Amino acid sequence: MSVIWSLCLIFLPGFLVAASMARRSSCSLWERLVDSLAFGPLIAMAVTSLHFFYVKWFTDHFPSTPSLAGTWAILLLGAGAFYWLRKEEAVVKSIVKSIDKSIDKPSPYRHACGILALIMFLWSSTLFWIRSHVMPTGGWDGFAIWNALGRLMGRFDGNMHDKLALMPLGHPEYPHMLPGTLASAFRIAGSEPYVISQVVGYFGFVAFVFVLLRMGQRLSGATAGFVLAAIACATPHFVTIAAYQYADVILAALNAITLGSLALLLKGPNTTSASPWIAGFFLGLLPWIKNEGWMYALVALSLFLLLSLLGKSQRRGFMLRMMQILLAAAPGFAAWYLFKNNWAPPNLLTQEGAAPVIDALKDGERWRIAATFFGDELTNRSGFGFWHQHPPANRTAQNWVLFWPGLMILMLVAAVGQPVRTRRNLFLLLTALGQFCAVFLVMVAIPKQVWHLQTAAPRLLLQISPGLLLLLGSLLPREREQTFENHSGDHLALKKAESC
Amino acid sequence: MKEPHSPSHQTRPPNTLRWSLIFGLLVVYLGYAGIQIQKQIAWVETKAKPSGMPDLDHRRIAQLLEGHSFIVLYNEDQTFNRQKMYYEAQFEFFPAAVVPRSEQSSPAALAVFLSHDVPIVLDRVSPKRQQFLQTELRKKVEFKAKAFGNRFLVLQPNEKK
Repeated sequence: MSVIWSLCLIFLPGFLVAASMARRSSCSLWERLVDSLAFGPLIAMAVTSLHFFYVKWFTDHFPSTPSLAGTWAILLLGAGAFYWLRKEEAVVKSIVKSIDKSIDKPSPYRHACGILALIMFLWSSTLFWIRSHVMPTGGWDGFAIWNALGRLMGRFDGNMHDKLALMPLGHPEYPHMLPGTLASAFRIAGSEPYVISQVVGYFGFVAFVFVLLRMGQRLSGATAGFVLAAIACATPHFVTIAAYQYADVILAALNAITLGSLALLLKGPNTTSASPWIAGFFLGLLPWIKNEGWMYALVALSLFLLLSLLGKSQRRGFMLRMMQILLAAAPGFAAWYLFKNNWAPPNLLTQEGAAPVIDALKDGERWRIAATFFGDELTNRSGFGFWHQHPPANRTAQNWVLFWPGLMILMLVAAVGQPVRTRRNLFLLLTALGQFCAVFLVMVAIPKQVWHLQTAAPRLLLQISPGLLLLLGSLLPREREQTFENHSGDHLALKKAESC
Repeated sequence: MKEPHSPSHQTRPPNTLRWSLIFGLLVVYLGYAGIQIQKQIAWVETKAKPSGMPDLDHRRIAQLLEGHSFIVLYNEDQTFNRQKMYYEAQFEFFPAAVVPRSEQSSPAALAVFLSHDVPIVLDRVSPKRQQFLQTELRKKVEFKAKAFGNRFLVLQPNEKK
């Protein structure tokens, strides 16, 4: 019971807050459910881990269960007030914005794609739980790093800098979004059962799938969302890494929300937009989940800034939007900054100073090795995604498989003959490339290069895959929003809006 | 940069040909993926059965660790340094471990043991290594006994369980 209570206290309020984010009249029950499953787990982990961190930071003691419950109560009250008190005339405005000037009627395959996505989701969930049953402790990094950090943080009171020094090889420099959530859950439950880290891992996977669904829907329509969700569920790599209880899938989900929201903030072929507060909040969590997240945040923010300033039409309200984004990102960025500068030891790249990094970057052989590894991964020759992990369980025996080539073919089919030169597409393409270049440079400079490439390259590609997945979503033919077909209230608003 | 806009507010008919192509490709992709996932499920399930026991039986390890406080083995093979590294890293944090060899099926298994809160027994370790481990472990034990008091349970180097 205490485990269920622990998981409910952490995740249920997150689902409720996420469900209340959209406007009362412009969002169907279905969309609210999707919001809840997409953003809820991530909000829950963010609030729980930030609460854990800041209480520890200011008091050197464990946060109590009532203090977490109190924090959630305040957030729920705020979300409720926001939900009920938000001006409803804005609905008409939003619908005016949503009347798209170049959209199609719904795809004839919308329902079929929805059913396929649902089947793949159930299928991949089965794989997740069977893997978790067979391997309750998770993969290597799951038990030796993430869960170990969670147990360490949940057990020992006092200054975290000293306690993290107790496991110098357990990567104490890793940020605390996942370990902080686990530590809170362990403490509330009063024990450290595997089921807690399994459920957290599963919610990470669920969030990733539903974020793609929601962002695809926002970018192009419901069918695009279903296509992206189905592809994510059909890629065993995502499921397996989630079942290993690693933070990579959670990072990919955060990356997808950030890129999707920032793309929607740029004026595009449809006028659907996003909240700068939401974009900023999740942007701030990127470094808080894993070290490489800061690079992804930097690339995304720089390109958003650049593309916003380049277009005249984009500049209106730009300063306000940027301020909102940075303010919303502050809790995550600040926690990460405080953690890195006070508790965490230097990481592999920074511990020796700049000289070895510069030397490594000058070494042509290291560039060749990194290019070979990533080339193999991108052409699936090393089997991105454990597609063939059934016997023979030998990576070199894996066949060519479909993820990256499949994605490229789908993009081509979606893009040929279409007006694709939009700011949103450019942003998604450039961020995908920029994030890839960033991880490539790190892999050139990192010590023990080959070992890191062998163990980390597929997961790095997983983390940056949302850029290309969302680009596919954005390239798919745009459809009319489902909401307008299903809700008589919206029909009224739509008529009113059209008569404006 | 041009943003594509049609002057009309009317929605257009769906792009059926394009959607048909995309749907066809998606069905092929998902069909292939579904078969691969099915094979993976079948393969993963064999890992749970004793007859198909892989090099690392996580379920067995999990059963041993959850709710118990004993175990863990230290052995000597070419990956010893890696084990030792993890052992030393985890030991001060986890009052743990050295183990019956029968339960240690791979270096990774040892790491799982080491990452959990269990006491220590040395078993079938060569005399040279025993001496080294005893020296190393005693240092840690003294530290741990001071730091965590009763949480540390047993150290029985060179004794069979």
